[in-house]
Amino acid sequence: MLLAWFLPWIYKLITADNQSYPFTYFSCINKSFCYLDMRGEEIMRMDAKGRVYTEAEFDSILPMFYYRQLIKDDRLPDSINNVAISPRQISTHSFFFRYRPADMNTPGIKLYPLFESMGKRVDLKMPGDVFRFNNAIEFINPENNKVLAEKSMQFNKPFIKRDFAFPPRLVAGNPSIRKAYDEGWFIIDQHYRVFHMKMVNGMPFVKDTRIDSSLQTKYIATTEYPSKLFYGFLFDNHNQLYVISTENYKLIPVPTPAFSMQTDEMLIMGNMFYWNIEVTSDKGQTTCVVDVNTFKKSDSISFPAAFTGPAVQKWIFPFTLSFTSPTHKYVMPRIEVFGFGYLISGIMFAAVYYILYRKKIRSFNAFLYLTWIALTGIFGFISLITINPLKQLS
Amino acid sequence: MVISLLAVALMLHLYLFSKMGRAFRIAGKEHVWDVIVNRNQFFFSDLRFFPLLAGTLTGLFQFIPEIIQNRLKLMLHLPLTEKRIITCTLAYGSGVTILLFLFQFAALLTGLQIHFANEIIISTVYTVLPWYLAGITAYFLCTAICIEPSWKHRLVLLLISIGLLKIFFISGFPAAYQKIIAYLPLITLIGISTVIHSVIRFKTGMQD
Repeated sequence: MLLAWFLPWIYKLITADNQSYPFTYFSCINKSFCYLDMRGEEIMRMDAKGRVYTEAEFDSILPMFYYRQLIKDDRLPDSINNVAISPRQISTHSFFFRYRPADMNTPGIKLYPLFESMGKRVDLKMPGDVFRFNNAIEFINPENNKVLAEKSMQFNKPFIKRDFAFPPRLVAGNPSIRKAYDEGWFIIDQHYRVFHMKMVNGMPFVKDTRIDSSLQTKYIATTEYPSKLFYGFLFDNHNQLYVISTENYKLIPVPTPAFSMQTDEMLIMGNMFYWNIEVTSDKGQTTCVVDVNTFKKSDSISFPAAFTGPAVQKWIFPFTLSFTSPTHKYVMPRIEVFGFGYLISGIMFAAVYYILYRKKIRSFNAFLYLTWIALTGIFGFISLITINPLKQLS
Repeated sequence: MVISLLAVALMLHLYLFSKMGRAFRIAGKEHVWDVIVNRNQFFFSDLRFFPLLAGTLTGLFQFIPEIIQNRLKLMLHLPLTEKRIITCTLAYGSGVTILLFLFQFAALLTGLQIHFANEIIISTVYTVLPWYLAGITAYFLCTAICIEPSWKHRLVLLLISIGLLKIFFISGFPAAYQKIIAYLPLITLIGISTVIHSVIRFKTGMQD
């Protein structure tokens, strides 16, 4: 088993190459994907039609991405597509949202800070306590490690009033004071009802969002972006992405390329006109573009992965064992089986073993060893060479 | 040797809790809680290799003199069953190691109980338990290597031991072993089985 862990690790160490893709962004000027490809010796700036651009031209066709460069060069237009634009508007509507499978598969400590959402100061302040959920919400003061009974009771009341089914399945928010404003936490109860909780002037604000519980919401990412157009992103049980609108928590489905929350990464690069939704899987990278007014997909572009799957491993290793994964922060054994292709190398290893020890291979046990090597391939071969049981038989 | 290890364990604890106290005074308890909970900082990382070192040293100090002075051979021919002799010897060594770890672990839990919520304590336990199991496993593997009569097999055992012990140190992320913590003692059982294997080989006088 150790060999099944160690040998593939060595193989990967020797052969692994960086899997990179061009930077892709949809141009609101020429209405096509443009990409910056740094994989070759030269940096290529092109659009999907194959037209090559200089650096300055590339800045001009992607004003939503390079607007600061355009401001510096005094080349930012006053309007795009008959819509008046300003640097402030572009900045307010631009955002980058990244989802990685490890975001969901990470051990975490279930204690959360609840900030004051209507603070009088511009900067957010640490609240001086944290909360936890068991069969009720409970606030704890870190200074003395004691439960704040009064505050806990005060915040518990609205949850009981709204029939919240404790303990929650998910508590989603940004536990950081480095953000423009605070929208508190989205909490999914045992019946998949989604609640919104925040603290307003020291008082609890708990609202049942009425988001359809049949979606069986799997993951919520609160965003707190400057535009304040939406609370965050929601993924349902079928990996469908939605935007939680600030208009009464209305869910807007967002088209994406084929996506699995367990294995694929997603990057959303949003601007005033379009959202570029990029999904990276082990098969490659696909970016689709969504119009922000209609939330309809208008175009997509794909780049296949340069190398896919265990091309050589399947001929050498019967299986591989690993304890870590880019999609998990948890350490756990993961066995990957590649089929029976390895049997060819297994028979070859058995033949080598026979040639090396042919004078000693007389007994029934010795033939069992050959069968063992044929079935376990390189792992059995190395272990038998090391232990050398034939010496004991002779 | 046991007293020296106990002294080191105590000093390490004093250092860890002094460091934590300093962080509390400088940054405040709320900030320390925040970095532990939201930034995945672990305050007891300095403890990481102590159990491994303690287990290895206990194994080496217990068995190297026996091997060098050929006392193990004599011991295995005492008028007691081989099983009993080995069980008593290993029980003493592993018992001392486990007691040392229990003492340190209890002191850690006591300190944590005062300053942190249960959620943080549980996460800490998930993080440090693999290190203590590594220490116990290291004791048995070290013993197996010492008892093993052939140098070639010792080398093989050493490589296997490194591989097995590496499993306990794959990730330093807090509570990364949470999902497999119940299965980690199986590696310790493998460690015990290697000792039995080495004893059998030693008793039968295997030279290869």
